[in-house]
Amino acid sequence: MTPERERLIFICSAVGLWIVFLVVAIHTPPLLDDWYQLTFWRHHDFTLSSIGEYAHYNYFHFNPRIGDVLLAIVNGPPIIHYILTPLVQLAVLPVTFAIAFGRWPRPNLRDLQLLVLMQAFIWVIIPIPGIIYFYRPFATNYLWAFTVTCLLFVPYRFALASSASSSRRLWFAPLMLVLGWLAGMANEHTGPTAMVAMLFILVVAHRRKQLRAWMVAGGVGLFVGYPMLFLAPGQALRYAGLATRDTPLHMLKMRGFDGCFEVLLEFIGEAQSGITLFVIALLIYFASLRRRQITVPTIPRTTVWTAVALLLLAGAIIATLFASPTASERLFYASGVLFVGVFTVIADYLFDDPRTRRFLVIVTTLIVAYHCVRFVETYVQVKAESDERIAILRSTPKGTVAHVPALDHARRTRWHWGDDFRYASLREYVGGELFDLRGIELIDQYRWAQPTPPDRYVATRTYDPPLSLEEQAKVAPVFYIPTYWEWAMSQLRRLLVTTDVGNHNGHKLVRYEVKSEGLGLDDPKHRPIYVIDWTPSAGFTFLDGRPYDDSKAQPFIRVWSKSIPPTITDSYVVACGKTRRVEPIPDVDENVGPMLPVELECRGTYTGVMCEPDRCWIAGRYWR
Amino acid sequence: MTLSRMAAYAFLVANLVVHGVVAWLSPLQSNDWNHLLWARTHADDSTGAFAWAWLAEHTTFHDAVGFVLARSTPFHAIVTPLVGLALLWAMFVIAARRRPNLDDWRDVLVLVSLSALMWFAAPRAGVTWFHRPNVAQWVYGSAVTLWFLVPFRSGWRAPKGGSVLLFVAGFCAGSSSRLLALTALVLAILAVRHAPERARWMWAGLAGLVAGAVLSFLDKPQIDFTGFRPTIEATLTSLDVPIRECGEVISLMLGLLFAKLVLSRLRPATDDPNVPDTSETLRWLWLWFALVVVAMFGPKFTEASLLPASLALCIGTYPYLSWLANTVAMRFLIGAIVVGAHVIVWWISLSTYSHVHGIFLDRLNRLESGSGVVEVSPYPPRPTFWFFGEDFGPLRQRQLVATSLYDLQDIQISPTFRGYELPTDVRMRLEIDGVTDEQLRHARPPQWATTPSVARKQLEELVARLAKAGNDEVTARLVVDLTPEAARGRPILAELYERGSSKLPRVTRRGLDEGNSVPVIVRPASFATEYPDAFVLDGTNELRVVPKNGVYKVPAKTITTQLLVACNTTRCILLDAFVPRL
Repeated sequence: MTPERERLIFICSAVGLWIVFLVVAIHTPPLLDDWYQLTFWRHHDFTLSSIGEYAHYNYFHFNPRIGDVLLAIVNGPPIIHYILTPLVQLAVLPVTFAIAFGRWPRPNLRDLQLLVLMQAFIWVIIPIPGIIYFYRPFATNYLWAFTVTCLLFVPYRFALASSASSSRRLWFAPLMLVLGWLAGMANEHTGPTAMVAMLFILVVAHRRKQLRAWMVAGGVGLFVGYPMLFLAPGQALRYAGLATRDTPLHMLKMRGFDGCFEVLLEFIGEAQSGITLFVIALLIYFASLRRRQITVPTIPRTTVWTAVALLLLAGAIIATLFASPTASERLFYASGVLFVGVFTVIADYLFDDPRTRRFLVIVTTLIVAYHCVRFVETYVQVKAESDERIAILRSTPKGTVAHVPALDHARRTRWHWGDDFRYASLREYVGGELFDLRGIELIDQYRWAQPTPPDRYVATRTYDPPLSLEEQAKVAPVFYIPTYWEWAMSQLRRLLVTTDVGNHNGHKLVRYEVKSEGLGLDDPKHRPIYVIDWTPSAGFTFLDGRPYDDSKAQPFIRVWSKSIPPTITDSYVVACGKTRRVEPIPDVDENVGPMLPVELECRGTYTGVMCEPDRCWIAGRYWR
Repeated sequence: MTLSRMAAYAFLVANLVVHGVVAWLSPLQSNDWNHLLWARTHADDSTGAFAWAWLAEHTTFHDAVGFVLARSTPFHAIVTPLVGLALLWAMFVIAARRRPNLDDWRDVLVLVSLSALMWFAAPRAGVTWFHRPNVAQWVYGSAVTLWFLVPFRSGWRAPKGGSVLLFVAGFCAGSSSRLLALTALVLAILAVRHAPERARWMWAGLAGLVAGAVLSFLDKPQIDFTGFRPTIEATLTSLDVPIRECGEVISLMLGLLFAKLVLSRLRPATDDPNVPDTSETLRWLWLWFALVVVAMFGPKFTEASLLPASLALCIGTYPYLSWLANTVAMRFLIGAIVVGAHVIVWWISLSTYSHVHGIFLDRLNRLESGSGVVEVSPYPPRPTFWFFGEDFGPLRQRQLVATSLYDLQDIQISPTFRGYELPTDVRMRLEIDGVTDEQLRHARPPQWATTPSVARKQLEELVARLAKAGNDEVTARLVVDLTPEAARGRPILAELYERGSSKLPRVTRRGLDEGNSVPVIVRPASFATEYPDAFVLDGTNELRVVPKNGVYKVPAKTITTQLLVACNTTRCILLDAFVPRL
């Protein structure tokens, strides 16, 4: 084949993949975390200052990662999503290729085949490719973020791969500083590995007398960005301050050797299909050489060391997860991509055998084609269903409850996240914040859908000097109070930052209480049921209780001991129209805090309540 | 004696002891109870009649072994570890086409590594190795199958009486499971085809294998395609467990090979000029895949049914383990891994089963000495890598053991756990024609179960006993003591025998569906047209239900007993009764 023809095939393939990404991007409906960004844009114009305001708020009060700002941007005018997302998704391949080979891919057939192999292995090895690629919150927080990190290292990789000293000029330094900072702000679990790699590269460059200003600038950016991310004030507030409880050391202690080994096994398990396919390719390679009576050629030194380096980096990122509060599928993306890099550099060596190359090209092309078809098929269907639901929500009279059908793709698969309206809190949020509805219910009751809680939350604001209720109603009015404590807290936090609710014309907000009404707690003392209690000096007081199944599969509401007032006298579980007094059970397994036993009697919401002599607290919910 | 031989003996003895102790500690569970129930049913038979009935009803190897293991813990504790070692030894012999040389460190290391790899490769290996029904079917079955294949693969000359031995081994292998029968048949036929000389023992072995395979394929339950799903993509998810679990061995070997490669770059002096013989690896991989796919046909596509596939994969690692063991550093690394693996596996097995054994003894003591409803403590209810989990979660199994084995009314587990099926309290009485009071007194159970499926089983046994006594045309009814309004005076029957055979349809209950209903499948589907008036009784509420293709959907929203009843103009049939598990 002529080089021109190879170039043409290369370009056509790239355009083909870009079209697939574009089609899916056009058909990606708003899902789960997307709704929060849509709420922001409902109240703000899409301007740089709005983005800055969003980033500032997030950094200090919510998710400080740069990925969340990127998410807000792609959830702005759709055209931005259509342009940027497919390009970034496409960029994953050349950037990873550059990291693996120390050069950009050339527009020839061999490099195209390696890129196809890379794409196929990425989709086989990362756990939930459809969700990582096309669920915008994961895409921007993980795929975009790690692509930025890899992009930072590309110039370093090129510099190390070449013996000549870099000819880049000074103007490159500020660019690298920004890129380094962005990479540092990318992810908590990839940052430490990136910093160690950066340090290693800088030392090597220094020893080889290749150190340049841009190198140092990139390093400085990274070393500034990551601490900024890790120590961001928002980290202490997200998920009701979960990070302050589940500190890295605490997580390491909790997991122990077993738990850490499980994380590693989980990653290997997810990657296993890819590993098995690669082993088959290796065996075909050896069989082919044997048949051709050729001795196995020595693997080039560079290939071995590149593979070792990529493997170590992938392993280091996984090791970082040992100390992470979550070590779920999406966090395996970065390690997965580096792992694919290992396979690709070895595949380049295997490609010297025509039979093995043929096998790998055919299999990986089929894998890529199948994934493309399934992505497009899935998202076209989901978009139609989502559009139908949005049309119903728009046409439902304001202040009423909308009834919408469940998505056909209700369950989570490797292609799609599933139906996000399974969460009662999200249904309430989307209804209240975006469509001014009193609620959203699914038309049929499904086993996987969380029932709507029976109670409603009511907020009381206390001002000093006092403000009349009429005047209060004019200050930062809210359409509803979320019946999920974390969101009720988040609502106040946002109001305090973005409105004058904290100080209205000299009237200072001195107390903010959210109480539950209509729960059905059978309490002879008729004590008020608090959800949160806020004062400027003490901050938020609430009971941090979450559903929990113990090792014997018994259901509980487990309450974090440090959030429980010392004067608790009695505890209850309210469910199925009954109030049952319960005795908290100590959490012997994990020692998080006392557990309220839940007796499953019906399908519905089980609400834990813990009471002091003069007031009760919502202690968490369980549902079945 | 060489050091390597001493190390090998130490390993073999330790293996025997640990496996023996764990076998001794392992409780009777799931299918073990059925063997005890069978023995109880035939307790009054004469020795000859017992032996004849046993032979007639335990035609397969796994059934016969399962019976012995359930009935004799000493046999299980002594023989099973030896069978386990025989399996390990056979793996080496199959892989290397020779016996291990215990005076060679490399062979000892490979042998011990194969033992460790089995734990890596087998999904829920602890349950496969120590749950007696699994041991009977898969450990004994795999051992006999591998030893049957050894002479075919190694081209051994059969000793005197070899034909008889091969026939017996072939029969046992063939009747151990359909999966092993099919595998042994294909591999043996291929070996015979490629053999330069077709000896008599080969034909004898094949004949035994075919005979055993025929019994296997006639055995119940039949193939049910449990591993397959309606779409290809969903079916691929069934491959997830074998790929993930068995794949751990692939990943480990790949990692070790890579480590050796890196080592040779770091220290060129350690570079090994030889390369491993990869000529058979792909075949072992394909065999692994084939074994997984065949296992998916069922019945019972469980993790234990993947043991043969896991063994194929482990055997395939032999050339790589041998090659790795050529390098001293790798020998130490592998040694550390396999010793560590064994220490962890043995320790966890011993601690898990000693805990479970205490619960089992207490449970047995209460069952034997109790009366009425006996309360027992639960085992760790969740299935784990090491332990089967609670087998008394389903009501049917629990009440069957209570009523038929210990003459109790029921067994109650306390504290309960998720997945525990609460008891139904359906009172039933027997109406029977053509039987004298004397005959009935001898044949009837001490009390009727309160679960329709168990009561049906009791009636089935009663009819069988009467038939044995010469009354083979009995007409009997289990009448439910309920008169709901929806029945409009029609009697509700839980079982109906006319002229010695049941007239009720087959009823299967599935798990909770997406819409919070429990599907109850009734076959033949024409039953719905014969009994068109169907309703669910939920306490005092009555809900009409319309079946679709013989599937009735029973709402499962509260933990009250749900009675599914279908009526024609003259009578009603209680199809199912259960308390939904939330």
